[in-house]
Amino acid sequence: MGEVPVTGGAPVTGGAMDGGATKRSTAKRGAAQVVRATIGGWTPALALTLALVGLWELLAHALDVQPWLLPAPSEIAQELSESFSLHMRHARITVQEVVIGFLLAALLGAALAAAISWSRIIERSLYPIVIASQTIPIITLAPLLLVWVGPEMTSKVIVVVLISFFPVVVSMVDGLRSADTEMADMMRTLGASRVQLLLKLRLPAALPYLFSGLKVAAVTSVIGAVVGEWVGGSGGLGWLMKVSGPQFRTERVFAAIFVLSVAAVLMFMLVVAAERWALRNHGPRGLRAGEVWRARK
Amino acid sequence: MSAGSSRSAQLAQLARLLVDRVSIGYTSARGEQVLAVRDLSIEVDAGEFVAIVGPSGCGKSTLLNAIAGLTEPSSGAISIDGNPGAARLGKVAYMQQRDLLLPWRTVLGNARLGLELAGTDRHIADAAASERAERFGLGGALGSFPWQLSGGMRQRVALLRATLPDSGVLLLDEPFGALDAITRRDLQQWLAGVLERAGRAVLLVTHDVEEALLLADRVYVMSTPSGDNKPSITARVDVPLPRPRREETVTTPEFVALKAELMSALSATAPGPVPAEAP
Repeated sequence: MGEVPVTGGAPVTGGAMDGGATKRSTAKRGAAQVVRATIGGWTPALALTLALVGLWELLAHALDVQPWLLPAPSEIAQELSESFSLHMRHARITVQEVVIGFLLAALLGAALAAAISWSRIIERSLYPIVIASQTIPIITLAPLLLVWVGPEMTSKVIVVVLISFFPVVVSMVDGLRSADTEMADMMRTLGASRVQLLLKLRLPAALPYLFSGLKVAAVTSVIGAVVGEWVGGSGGLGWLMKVSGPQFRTERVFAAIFVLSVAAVLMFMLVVAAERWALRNHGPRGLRAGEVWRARK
Repeated sequence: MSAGSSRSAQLAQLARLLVDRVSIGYTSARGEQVLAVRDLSIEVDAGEFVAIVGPSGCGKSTLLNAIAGLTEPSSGAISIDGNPGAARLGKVAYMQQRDLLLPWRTVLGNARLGLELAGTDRHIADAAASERAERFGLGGALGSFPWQLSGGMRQRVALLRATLPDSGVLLLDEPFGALDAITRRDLQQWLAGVLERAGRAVLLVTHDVEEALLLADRVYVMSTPSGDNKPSITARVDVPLPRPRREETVTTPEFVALKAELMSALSATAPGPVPAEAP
């Protein structure tokens, strides 16, 4: 059954890694270098994944596991290529929920963090509620949301926001507090008002922290959307998994999981790209992973 | 002392910066009231360069923070242009030992910060900053980010930022303390040069006696607050050395004599070897 290219995982991977390394060392400069640095960083992860998938394939055949129990990677790949449009149709629904929910969570999280860091009273009244809200199991709330706002996209987006705004708030609050107090004093001697201190010192200083939170939120958004779809609805990868399981279409469940992982990784990489752009002037401290920008100078 | 006090009353009208019998206290971790600065009086006129020398921990930075308006003194008055009640934040230029440049802003963006906060039109602020940067030897670095500059260049940018709003009083808190000796000498010469033409009152705080003598018209010696009720300022030395003072100045007999005078005043303020505290 070795008709699918993933079978020969390990040797192929080794070759790809060498190729990546030589390309990076001979690369000159420019946008292409940024892209290569981003992708180049993922080469080891890709290599490990392919190696594990190769092992899985071998074991599935060696132990003769039933496909409805645990399909081999080649069977999952076959399902994906045969029902590609089905997966993409549901992926589009999920991605829409994820993106809208993520953006709303980012806005809500940043706004709450700004309010919390603005005054002691707001902090003491609001922050405990924000934290307590995270102890409500989302899985119990999601069915209620269905009843409250209906089975359409809105209920899924709300689940995404509820699950994703929290990491944004926490990291952003820390970030807004991270600004150097001596810098704040310096700005006050230059006549800065509280609003100016927030906009011109605390906010830029908080950006690296904000992006740490956004990276977590990018991944939890995907989880949120799947939870929302699982509980009720008529589409999306979560829904597809839910209906395929009882039909013993296990390879379809795994194919949907694969598509979902790709979507999550793409979301994450988008946030990383946005981070590099937003922190391009923050210097080596802000740009932890952005050596390439210094090399460009 | 009656002649002295009438003179200080007169100076209240004249002096750009007048610190009048100021004490600054804080509450220690054990809840006691501790005085960091006691009964301190100094005046700095427009165009004057005054230095305060003192050992670490004598309350120099506490004093400058109060003059800048970041804190208020426990007693006494600080007046700018004879105006003791007025708000000082935004009216006193204050340059600290750390350059405190905003890392995400270019040299130009950092330099114009004071004008920007005051609501000056962006183009006017940029033009003013670029023009002054030229004079500060920063003309070629306007587009650079702080992390691309050397320590000496960063301090120049910090001074440019502090002085661009053209406030009448400039406070310098160990401005070159974090630099190596060679850069430090260069920047002292440079500072004397760029400030010569400006008619502002400059107050420099340092623990480097030579730095004080090279730059200042008058030097005060400040002591660490102690148990007795002695005021913080223990000596006042006028520096009549001709300007410009160059590196060779430090070897002239006049300079050496002044240095010796200041050193002995300083060592008199030292509390002596600190007894080991019982655990």
